[in-house]
Amino acid sequence: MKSKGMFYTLGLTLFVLVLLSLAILFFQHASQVESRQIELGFTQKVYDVDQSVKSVLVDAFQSTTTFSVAAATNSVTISQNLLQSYATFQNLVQDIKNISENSFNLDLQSADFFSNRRLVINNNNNSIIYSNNNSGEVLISANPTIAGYAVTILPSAAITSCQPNLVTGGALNFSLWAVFQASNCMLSEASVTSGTVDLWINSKLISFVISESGQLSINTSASEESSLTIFFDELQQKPKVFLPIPVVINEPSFTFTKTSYPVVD
Amino acid sequence: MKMRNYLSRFGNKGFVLTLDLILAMVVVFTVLAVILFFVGRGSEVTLSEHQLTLIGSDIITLLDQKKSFDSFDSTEISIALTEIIPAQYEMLVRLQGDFTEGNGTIEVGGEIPSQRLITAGQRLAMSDTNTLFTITYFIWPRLQ
Repeated sequence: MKSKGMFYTLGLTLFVLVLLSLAILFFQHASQVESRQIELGFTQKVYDVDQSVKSVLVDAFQSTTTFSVAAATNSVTISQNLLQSYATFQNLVQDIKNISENSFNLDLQSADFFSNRRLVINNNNNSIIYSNNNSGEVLISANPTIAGYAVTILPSAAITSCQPNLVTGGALNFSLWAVFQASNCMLSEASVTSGTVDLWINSKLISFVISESGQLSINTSASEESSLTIFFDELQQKPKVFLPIPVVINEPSFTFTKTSYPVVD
Repeated sequence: MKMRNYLSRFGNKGFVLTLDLILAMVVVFTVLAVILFFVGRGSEVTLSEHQLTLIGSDIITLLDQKKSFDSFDSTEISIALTEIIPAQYEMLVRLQGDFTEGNGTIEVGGEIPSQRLITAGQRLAMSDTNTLFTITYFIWPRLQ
């Protein structure tokens, strides 16, 4: 009789333990569901803010500058006026910064961009810097993946002089195409090591310098429309061109920080 | 002889024990069923709420891409919203920014109901005239 009572007590204890475990499981699941709900909501909120701010930055860049960027599988073409003004874009970015920082937990770090005025071309984890500084210089940093450059100038006046001085025997392709009515400057070299080309338009000089490392710089005081195509060796992926303006989203309650950049193309 | 001894020793306790076992099983399975029901319902609520947020975000992105907000005209925005929103959902869209219409705040859509599942989101946008504004949206399932 005594052992039977113990058996019943044990059985009941086991039963209660099973119920208790299930209750704990249920409460754990309920709290997990709640935190998952919060996480999913937070993810969507971050996505919305991040995407919209980057999209607005790209729209602002394209509508207030003369830049136009097109990336293909093995090249990037950047069209712009050689004397590019960033003043309107800078004012708009300041407004975007003010609104974003007041409305969202967001930090827009644009100071470096306006002091260096760069675009970053990223291909297969190689970064190529395209800078356009205040003194009328366009600079494309040297990179072993660059196969060549093709420059087109749309002169607003007659070409008065075209003086190429290119050293051949290297691996870089370089072509220049500038036509205004009867005057023109057309070059195409398939194996450039280094050199210079001086192009005079209406008594203003556009100077092209290719260094031995493969860096191309264009110096000018002429406000001419240009289009520069950078060709790459065979790539697996289409290169991406982005504005080096970090969009940093901070959410201290989730100890979450996300940094991303607006992609122009 | 053995059988008789067995019956006399346990009587009809076997019947009671069987009933007890059945009752215990009914209780256990009922508890299990209730738990599974709530667990399943919890997951469904999470997914449907997230789905609701995704739909809201997609609608706002689409309207922004179509430049439907650029006029800052509540009637035009309302028509564009009605054209795009699925019949089973309702939305309230609030635009806030440095524009003259509505003193910088425009609200379009239904009224936020009480005691209903509502999700919300926020985006930054820019019109063709470079006017910056924030879009806050609320979305909830429409009562059938």
